[in-house]
Amino acid sequence: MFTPRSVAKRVAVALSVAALPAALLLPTSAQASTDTVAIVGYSVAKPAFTALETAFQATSAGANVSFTNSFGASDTQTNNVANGQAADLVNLSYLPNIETLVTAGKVPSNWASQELNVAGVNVALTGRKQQTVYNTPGMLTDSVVVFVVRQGNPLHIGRNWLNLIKPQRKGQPAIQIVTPNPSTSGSARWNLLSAYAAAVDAGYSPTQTSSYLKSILGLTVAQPVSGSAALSAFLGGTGNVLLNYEDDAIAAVKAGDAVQIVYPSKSILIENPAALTNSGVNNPGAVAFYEYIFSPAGQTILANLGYRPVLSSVWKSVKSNFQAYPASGLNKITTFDPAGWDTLNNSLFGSSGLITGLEQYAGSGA
Amino acid sequence: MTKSPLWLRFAVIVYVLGLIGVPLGFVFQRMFAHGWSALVSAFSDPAMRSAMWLTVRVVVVAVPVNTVVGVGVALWIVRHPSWRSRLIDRVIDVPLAISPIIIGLMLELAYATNGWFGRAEAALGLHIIFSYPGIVLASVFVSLPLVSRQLIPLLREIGDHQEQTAASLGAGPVRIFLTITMRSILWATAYGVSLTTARVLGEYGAVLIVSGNITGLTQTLTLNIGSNFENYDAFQGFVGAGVLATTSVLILLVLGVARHRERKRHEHLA
Amino acid sequence: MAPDVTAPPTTPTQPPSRGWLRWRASGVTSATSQGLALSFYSLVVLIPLAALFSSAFTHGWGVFWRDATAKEAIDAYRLTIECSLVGAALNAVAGLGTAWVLVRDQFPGKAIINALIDLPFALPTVVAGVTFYTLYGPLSPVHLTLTGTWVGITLAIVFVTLPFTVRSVQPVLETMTFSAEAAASTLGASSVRVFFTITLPTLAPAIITGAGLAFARAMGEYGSVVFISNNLPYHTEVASSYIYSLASSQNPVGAAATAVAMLVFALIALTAVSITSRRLVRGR
Repeated sequence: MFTPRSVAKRVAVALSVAALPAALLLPTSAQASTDTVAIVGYSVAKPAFTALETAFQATSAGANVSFTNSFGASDTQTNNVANGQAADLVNLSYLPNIETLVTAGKVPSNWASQELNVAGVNVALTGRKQQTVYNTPGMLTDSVVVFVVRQGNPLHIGRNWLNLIKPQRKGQPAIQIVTPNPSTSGSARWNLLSAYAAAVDAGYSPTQTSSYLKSILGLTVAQPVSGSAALSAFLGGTGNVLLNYEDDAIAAVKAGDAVQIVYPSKSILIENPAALTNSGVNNPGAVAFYEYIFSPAGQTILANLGYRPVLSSVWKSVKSNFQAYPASGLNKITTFDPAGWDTLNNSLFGSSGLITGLEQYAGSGA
Repeated sequence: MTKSPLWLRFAVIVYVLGLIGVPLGFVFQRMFAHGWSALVSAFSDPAMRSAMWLTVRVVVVAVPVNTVVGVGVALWIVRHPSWRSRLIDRVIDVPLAISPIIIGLMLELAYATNGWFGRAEAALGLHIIFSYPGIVLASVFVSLPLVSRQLIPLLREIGDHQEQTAASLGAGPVRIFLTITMRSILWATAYGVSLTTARVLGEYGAVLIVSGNITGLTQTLTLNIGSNFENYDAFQGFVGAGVLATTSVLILLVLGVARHRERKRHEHLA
Repeated sequence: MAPDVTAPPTTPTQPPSRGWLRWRASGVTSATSQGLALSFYSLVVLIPLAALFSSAFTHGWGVFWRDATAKEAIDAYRLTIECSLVGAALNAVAGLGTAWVLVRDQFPGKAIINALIDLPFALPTVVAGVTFYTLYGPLSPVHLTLTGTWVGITLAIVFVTLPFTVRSVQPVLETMTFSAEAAASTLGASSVRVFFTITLPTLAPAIITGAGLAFARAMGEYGSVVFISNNLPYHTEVASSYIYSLASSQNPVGAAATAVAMLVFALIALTAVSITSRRLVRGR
């Protein structure tokens, strides 16, 4: 019998039955007809990729390429890709992240030499000569660790790492450092590594270095999960000194936030790797995009966003926009320890690492 | 009954308004803080639009699944007890007591490509974690008991004699279910469905882990809010928050009506 | 529970009719749908639970114990349990008071207050989290900065758990007849004495249950507390946030171990609540 109520019930049942397959089958934002490239990156790289993707899609190689993007704390992103998240191109914060993906079988072991095939960059050169065109194989961008302070630098933060922990003058509020959490963020590891390097450079003994780092952590008031979360917390009013990437700080200043940059006199050279994954090397759009971001066009875009380009020709033309460092002030991690991250990642941030052990003093005061 | 003292009434009103009303009002204040045009352009943000659409697609699958399962399991536990139904009865409330982060971790350990079922999934071409099905799975998990918990005490109280009478008069099982059973549990089910919808709309921790946070693909509206906030786009974050706060208020209205109707039905029969 | 007055007189002498037998044999009882329900719960809940335990003990009991009792873990448990206890206890009292006023009084706007109680349940935790951070953070419009303090964390917990304590006491209050209280009053007992010796014991099981649910929920809270807490390891890092950082940093075994510990705490709490409330009911 067709009462209005029974008809309504049947329609409701029919709609809900139809809704299920419809919801499952409806296309997502990425259309199947164009080439889709899955980008997975560390948190701070998000605006860089927005700019790079837009510019790339305006070129003939990128006309039919669409992107999906996932950004977050570097270690979290590495973990997700190792656990199966789709990725064609990854740009992570520090070298061990990529090495983890190689071990997990997601990135080919020759990832660092992929850039040597980038068209338009002296392909005619081979071997060592070609490698001098780029700073370090496989690294997409360079940067330095900077102190970000409130506009006007009211606490008169100086350029010496070691003076950060000195007690403030009477009437001045105590130093309150903000840095991300080293167990999830690559930015945090670069920050604390630079602090460590500054102490060792100054001739501190291991005990003194440990005491210094303990004080740095003691003055830390917040350890947000990622680099961009840390900047966000700082801009939201937490703390009075933020340890951050230079490019992220420059972006904040350009955006008109009430902050300014203090350049510590010494820093480890930050090098952020990028690689095509095993699925990416077979994805023509991904390969073309990879070549683009390493090309002069891509590197210029990155330079305009505050990254130090790795392509020497581009670096020469933008060098004057960046803070200069004396030869002793800016060192690659390998200058500091020949095995680079391979040793230091473990000795500082491993489960029985120096900084891992000192983390319990975070927030306890200098 | 004597009325409660004036100071208590005052204290309760201040407590509820201060604790709950103020934050709710604040969300809307921030949402409209930059005027209408800013709000309209915030709605055209492609990441937020995809997030809203994804959230709708998750609700449309997770809520009916949980409703059907919830009603069925409640009937099964109350009317046909067995060792199997008793096992489910013990397990039912588990999702309420577990942190969403732990739920996300559990699902990842079981269903990611290097998890227990990883190879089986790969063989079948299934992508669960870091993809849409994983989000639906997590949403179903966290809201699993919400419908059953409303129905089980109610079904115990009502008993099944009405259905027995109807059956002895010759009615078929489907008709009995639709016309008798559903009518007596309708408003309690509506209450449970509203709670389920609210829970699925609002899930954050579990989805944070299982989704991979892929903008435009697996970023739900809650993740979108969190991401905007972390990238210092607080206004965009509050616009998303305002959308969800509005749906929460609408759900509250439905909850109130359902509760009222359910009490009326109870009084009417008592 | 109100007596079931709608039960018809039973007729045990009549044999079950065919229609009734057909109904009993219908979909709900059939083995297929029961099997389906079991498989569903297995896939969604039981198997992931098993995967969690299996992962936690991958390297044996020794490693499990080391991970579950790491100093950062202990500090996280302590912070989480303390804030959850305080929040649940506060809301037990506030929930009782609120339910009392809602059941016994009439005043303009009562429906709004009653509806607002459910808001923390309906509102996404991340919305509560970012709102509390903005409202009570460094740039607080009400000049109240609670970030990085246990007070801030507890405040978020109090917000999120109020519905549990109110909604567990409210139905019991609604069906109470207060006849014993009236009798005691006419015999001369003061209203305070009446409340503490008669009313409160009747409500005790519901209060305890509500507080227990609130506590269990508070222990697992993430979205609403992670922003306001500043997430400083060892100091203001709640357990769920610690588990998240372990899960994200290539230490799934450590994350699983800590998660198992948290589940054990939740189980202990819920069992204690259920035993206490049952004993209180029996003791009457």
